[in-house]
Amino acid sequence: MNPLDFFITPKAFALLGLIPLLIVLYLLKLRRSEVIIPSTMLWMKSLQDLTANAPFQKLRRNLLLLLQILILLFLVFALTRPFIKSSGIEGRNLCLLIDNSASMLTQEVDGTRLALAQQKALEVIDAMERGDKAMVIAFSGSADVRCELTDDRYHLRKGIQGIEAHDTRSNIRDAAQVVRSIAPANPDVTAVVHGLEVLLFSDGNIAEGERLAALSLPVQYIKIGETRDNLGITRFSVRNTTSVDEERQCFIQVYNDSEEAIETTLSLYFEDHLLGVDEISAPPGDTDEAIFVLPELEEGLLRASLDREDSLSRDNTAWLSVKQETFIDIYLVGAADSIGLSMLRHVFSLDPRVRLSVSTPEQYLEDAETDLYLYEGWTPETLPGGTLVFVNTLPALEGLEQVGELTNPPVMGVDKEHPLLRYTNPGNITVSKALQVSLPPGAATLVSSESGPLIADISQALQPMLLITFDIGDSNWPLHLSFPLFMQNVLAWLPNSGIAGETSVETGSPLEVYALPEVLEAQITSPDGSTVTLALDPLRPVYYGATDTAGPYVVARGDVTDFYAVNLLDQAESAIHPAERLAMGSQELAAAQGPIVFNKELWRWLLVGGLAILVLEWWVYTYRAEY
Amino acid sequence: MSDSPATTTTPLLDVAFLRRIERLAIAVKKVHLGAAKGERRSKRKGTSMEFADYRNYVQGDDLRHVDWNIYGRLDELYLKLFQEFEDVTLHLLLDASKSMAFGTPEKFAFGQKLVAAMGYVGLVGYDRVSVGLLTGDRAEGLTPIRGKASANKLFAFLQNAEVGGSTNLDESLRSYSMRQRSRGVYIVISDFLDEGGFEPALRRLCATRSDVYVLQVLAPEEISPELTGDLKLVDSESEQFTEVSVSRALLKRYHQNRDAFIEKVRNYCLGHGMGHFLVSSDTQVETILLDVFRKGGLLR
Repeated sequence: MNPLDFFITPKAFALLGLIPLLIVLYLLKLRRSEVIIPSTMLWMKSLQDLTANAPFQKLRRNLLLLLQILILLFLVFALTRPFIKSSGIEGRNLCLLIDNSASMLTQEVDGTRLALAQQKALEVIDAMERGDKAMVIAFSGSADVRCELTDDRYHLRKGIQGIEAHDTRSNIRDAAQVVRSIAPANPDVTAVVHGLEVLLFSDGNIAEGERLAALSLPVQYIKIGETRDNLGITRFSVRNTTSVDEERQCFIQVYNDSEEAIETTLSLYFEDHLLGVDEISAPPGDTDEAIFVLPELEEGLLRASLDREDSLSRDNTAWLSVKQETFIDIYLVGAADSIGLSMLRHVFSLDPRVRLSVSTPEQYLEDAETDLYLYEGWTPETLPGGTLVFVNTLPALEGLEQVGELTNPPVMGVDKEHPLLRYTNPGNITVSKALQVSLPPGAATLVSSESGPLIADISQALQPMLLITFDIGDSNWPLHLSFPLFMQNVLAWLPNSGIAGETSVETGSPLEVYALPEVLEAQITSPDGSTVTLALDPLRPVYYGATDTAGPYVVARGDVTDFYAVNLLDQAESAIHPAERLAMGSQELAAAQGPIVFNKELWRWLLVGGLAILVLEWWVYTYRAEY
Repeated sequence: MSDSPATTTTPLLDVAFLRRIERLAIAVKKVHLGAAKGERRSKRKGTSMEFADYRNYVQGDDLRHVDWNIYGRLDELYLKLFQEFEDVTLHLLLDASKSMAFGTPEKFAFGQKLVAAMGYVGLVGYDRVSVGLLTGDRAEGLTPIRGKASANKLFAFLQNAEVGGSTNLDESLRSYSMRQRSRGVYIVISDFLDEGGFEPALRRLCATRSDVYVLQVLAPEEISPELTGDLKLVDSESEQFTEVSVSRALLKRYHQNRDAFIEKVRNYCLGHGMGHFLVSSDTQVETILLDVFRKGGLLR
């Protein structure tokens, strides 16, 4: 072990360079005050006697210098903050990071790993001495500060005992960010906590461990758990085969983390009906797959389940929400010979979800019941429900009126924040002619020219509406990449457009919930049975983030009920074997052996030693040669 | 009123004190030859009423001194000798080197007073008083004076005396003895802090076969110095310096050396038949005369 490892700030050794300075100062000597006396005869003799009789007289001459060098050494050593390992804690600031990811739910002999970690963390809290402070952070996919830095053991215990496991992947990023905000190495923070030590209670498999290494703090990795008996589902998906009969297959992968090969069976259910059972034979540390051919299914939940009990039960079941394929109906209304309309028709027909219908104003059907109406150069008297797009025409809306015409209007500004302009920037298009309009209150300009909007969001209350003030044929927009991307965004803007097929969401990731027409509230029921009411936004999706538990989430919007499958499906978490060495980027940290030890810093003792020598120096100075 | 310097400046000694010491007299242990008639028993045989001795008549002797009664009985000529009483010379030698100008009160000022007082005692006792100021390697002298009336002359001389030069007792005493050869009582007042050593000077005094009294004067600051800290001690005479960091051990060592030095002077003096007195410059002159000197047999 490098001797410098026993010092927290070995850079302070550079201060040893002050010793030559001290010697130089000593050589320059102190300025003696001059005293005229009758005769120096007796003094000289006394001085000679003294130096002749004193032992180590050469040393004595420099004793003050030696003492000063000694004091300097003590101070420098104190600044390097040396430490020894001690089983007690004293005046320490501890940061207890407790892993509560899915793998911590593994059942050990004495309870779950999380319970063991909590128990060890409580032992640390019990071992705290006067002046010690600690903070508790539970981390899985995200970080949860259970208790701020405090010496209040009651709150620390409460914080530790209240930690619950999440079915998510353990990722240290957020926790490291929290620690970094108070760590001394952080140059951006002034109120830092000095002498911070990190105690990491985990079974190892942590993503982004290098962030912990970047903290430059002393970290102790307390390995939790022993067992490695686990078989878990790590993939679950439905796919269409490319063969002619286009049958649908369900693909399931399982991972064996135990030390022996496991043979068991895997059952696939739709709702509660058994669809099939397959044999699984996974070698140790390897995967096996099962493939089921699916019959025609209604909307509902697929559930795959391993028929074997093991240490970690959370990854033995996975769900998949099956939805009927949905289509987007688009109704284009415009002149038959319009170039812009043919461009629009072309760009929309590229999307397989789109069912396109086109008509001239003369053949316009008022009750077409489509998701999107697009009017080009013509507007009906009465506006239908659904999403409306007006191109080179103005609907009869209060406050919206034409004030003139624009010729070659240059594009001046683009609102990049609007969802319709995501990933696209029509800032470089050229328009030869456009309507000059004044917008109603509440409307948002997406693309503006010098003297009026070119594209504007003129949504009314609950109805999304988009206005394009120029004929697309009068511009070079279709030649730009921004044109198809913008139209894709228009499709994504439609309610219901995002839900299709079989979906599974990773635990910890948010659910995207869209409003239905006239429905502005959703009831979300978690797998544990708790229900949350979520207010919806008619114009954009609302995200629901409390998805830390794997299982089916039921989202009820009015009469419509959808299932969202939230799954762990993570080989890193199914690999429950505790890591002996914690990977922290390029570094590795060995698990702490024996009882938990802490750096017991010695700088206080060195300071006391320095002070004692200072007193000794004063004593020698005053009563010199009394030794 | 007198217009002598002794009265224009602060008088060395006040009148009351002078009155008190008028009763004192110098105790002379050895018998010396005097220069004039006085009150001291002289080696010389003379004309007083006090019988001294007989001796054989030799040709040329004054027949008036022949004891005719003895001649009648023994038929031999003997001369009857009578004791002669003469004065004795009191040599007052004061060290006037720069090192004497230290102390509270100054060792030199103290010496001036002491010389004035002793001189006055001598003058009152009809002795000849000779004063020598030992500066550097020479001695400034006051021509021997006699009689109480010369006291003002003595005081004026002392009042005008100034310190200067470095101590070289041997050389300055040699210079003094070149001029004053008469035996008598020598009183030397000095600190004896002589780089060249005090022994040659005392040996020279010893060789005069006079009564020699050594007064070693030290200032209170020299007896127990109150110095602290890191100092550069500069010698007032040689201007040599010694850098010391005053510590308890150094002071202890200084005290030991000081005592050893005093002891050395005392032993030398006693070993050569000289009287030795150690006085601090803050001692009252009166105390020294009336107490120390009387106990020491210098005054009676």
